[in-house]
Amino acid sequence: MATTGMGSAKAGVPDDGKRTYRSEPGIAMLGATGAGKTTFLGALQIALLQDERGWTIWSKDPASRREMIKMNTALTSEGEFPLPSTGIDTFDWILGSRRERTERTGRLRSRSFEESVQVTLKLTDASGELARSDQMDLDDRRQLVEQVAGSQGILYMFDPIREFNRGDAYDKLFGLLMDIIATEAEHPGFDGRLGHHVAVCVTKFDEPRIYKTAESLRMLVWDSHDAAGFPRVHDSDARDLMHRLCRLSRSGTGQAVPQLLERYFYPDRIKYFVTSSVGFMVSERTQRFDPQDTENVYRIESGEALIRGPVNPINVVEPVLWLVEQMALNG
Amino acid sequence: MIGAEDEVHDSLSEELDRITGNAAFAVAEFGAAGAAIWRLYRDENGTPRAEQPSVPQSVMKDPDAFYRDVDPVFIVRTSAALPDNLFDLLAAARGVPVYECRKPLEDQIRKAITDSPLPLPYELAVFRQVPPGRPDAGRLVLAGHQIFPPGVTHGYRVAVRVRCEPTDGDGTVFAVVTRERRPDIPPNDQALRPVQIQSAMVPAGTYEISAELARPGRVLLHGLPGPLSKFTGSWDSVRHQVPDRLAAAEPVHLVCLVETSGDDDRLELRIDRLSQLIEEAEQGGGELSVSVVAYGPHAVAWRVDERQVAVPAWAAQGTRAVQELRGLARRPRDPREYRRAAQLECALETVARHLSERDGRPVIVTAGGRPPHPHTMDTRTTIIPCPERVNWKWQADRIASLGASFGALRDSGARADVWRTLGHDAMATVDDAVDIPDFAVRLGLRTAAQVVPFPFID
Repeated sequence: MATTGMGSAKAGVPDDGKRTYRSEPGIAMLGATGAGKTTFLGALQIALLQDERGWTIWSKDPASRREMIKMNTALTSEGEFPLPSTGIDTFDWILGSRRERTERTGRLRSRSFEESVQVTLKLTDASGELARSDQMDLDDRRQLVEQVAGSQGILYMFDPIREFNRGDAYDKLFGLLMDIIATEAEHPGFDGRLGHHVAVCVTKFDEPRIYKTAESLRMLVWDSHDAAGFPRVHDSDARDLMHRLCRLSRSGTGQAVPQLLERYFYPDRIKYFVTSSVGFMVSERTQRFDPQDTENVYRIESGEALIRGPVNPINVVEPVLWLVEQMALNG
Repeated sequence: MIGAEDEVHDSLSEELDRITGNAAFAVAEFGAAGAAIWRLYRDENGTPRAEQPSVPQSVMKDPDAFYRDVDPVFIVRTSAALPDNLFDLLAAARGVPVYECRKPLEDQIRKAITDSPLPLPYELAVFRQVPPGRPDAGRLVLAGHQIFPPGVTHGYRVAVRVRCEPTDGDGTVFAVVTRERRPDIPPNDQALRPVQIQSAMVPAGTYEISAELARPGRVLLHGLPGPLSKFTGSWDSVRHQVPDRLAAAEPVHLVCLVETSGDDDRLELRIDRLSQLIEEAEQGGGELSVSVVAYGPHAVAWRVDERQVAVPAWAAQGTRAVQELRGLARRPRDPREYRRAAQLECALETVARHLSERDGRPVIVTAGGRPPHPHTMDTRTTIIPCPERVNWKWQADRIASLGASFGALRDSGARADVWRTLGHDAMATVDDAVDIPDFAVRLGLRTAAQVVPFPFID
């Protein structure tokens, strides 16, 4: 289980047509062990580099900076996955970008200026084991619950392969939600639902079974400008894909996961994304995506999972920016 | 009673020497329990035989009838006390010698037969090939090769050099025969008559055997690598199995596919088993060529260099193939190798591409454990597909269409469908003790293309 937190928003001061907008909304990250939370964070740096919107990421805090470099090096240079958290690690990362903004200066006048946007990500990367019910009385678990409750957005990582093999997503999510609700219920005006914005990330899109399910449902779309020819699942189909994948839950409780989310959060504050932190395999020979060989992960003799080719994250930036946008819009 | 065994032996020997054709003589033993009549004659091979004919009681009580009908050459008395009727017969002996002995007559007959010289030469039934340059050159002729001349007695030994060709499950027949001596028939056309027929499972090869006359009708053969046993078939049936010509031994091409992935001990085990099989196949006698094809996992990641399927030996001699196999044990290994499959499909494709009819009937033996990479995405196994999109099944079918046999020496945990196909004719696990000779037989590495029941004399 990992959480990222972004502190509360602050407005900057206009300065010769340039402004700085600082945002520190809280974003929490939930997901079972092995769902890919740490890898998602590592891939975020790469995804931002590949994104045309010009976002950058950095850190002032030496420990956070060290972790950022370590995750990046593991994924890109070594072809390895960042080591998962065993407790709770907290990092301070800053997302930065510039955007043009128009502001009215009078009844008939307006002016445009370039605004620098900085979003501080307070990342708390916690072990997925903390979601287990037998961890309820531990300090780390209590800390996790407080941080999730105090955040404004949640990145929920749903791993269909784990659900297929173990089927424990519902149990882990339900227990944690109950703890979070118990914390939130102390606040005046609590109406039984959590007010967070939730980006549900259906992970491991490159895995053959998930890819083939999406293909069989005719949910794959291609961007003709994508040089490698990667397919995507449009966000509007992501929820249906998750529902279909949840039917294959080993315990049979998987189908209740979306219902659980939509019952305890406001449905209009939930958005689904089909993601892959490491992206699809790219053929070394053709430099293109091969629909018969999609998975970008393999295992070696020791059992360790490694990355096969270049990391091309799919839908890693989008959930984060969607949350930032939603939180900005909703104050 | 005074012992007269020597006289009895001499008399028996003289009488045996005298009889020919259908002639016979009788001897009698009178003892306390009664009389035993023996009739001695020679069979068609000249082997002395003795039998006890049935004599009516009335004859044994009537001296006239006894000396007329039984007409013994001599009588052996082995007891002082005799039944009354035998006293009566002795009293009317009419010049027939009566020897008083302690030794039963049966033993003395047995000894006399054993000591009697052969009246006819004994021959070993062998194949000869009509020499080149003659009409019917190369044709096989069943002939006799003399091992004992007439007149020799028990204990006579002779050395014979025979060559055995691969033959079927009944083995090679070692038959001692005599020839029907008829002056009106050329020697080569004279019928061979069996004296003794035995068979043995003998690997193809040339052997120095020693033939020893134990007694007329019984020859001991020493020096064969396998035990001789009584031949269960008939002489006529085996005689009719004689092929017209010796078919050239079917050339066999043993292709050894060895998976080089896994730990060193496992690889050594695979190499050992394949080496044993090659050595076993070399004893098959036929023309053998051996190929070695080594394969490991595909490089599924950019950071790992692809190592192509290697062919260190193709249609080579067995010794060279074993040498190349041993060399595989020292191969470098990449710790980033994929663990779930090996490029078995590409190894099969390599074999299918290289196979040629001129190298012989293909026998494909695969020693490995991992499944092949699928030719396309496989959501059941999720094994990464072959980068060349090679379909192992198609390649196996392609090889099978060339008449190949398939043997698998798989790891104990290997359960994929591919091992059922690759072990179609012979399957064993390398972790267990493998009956390599049996494995070789099941792949046709040790069986003949035709029945060649008799040895050759070159």
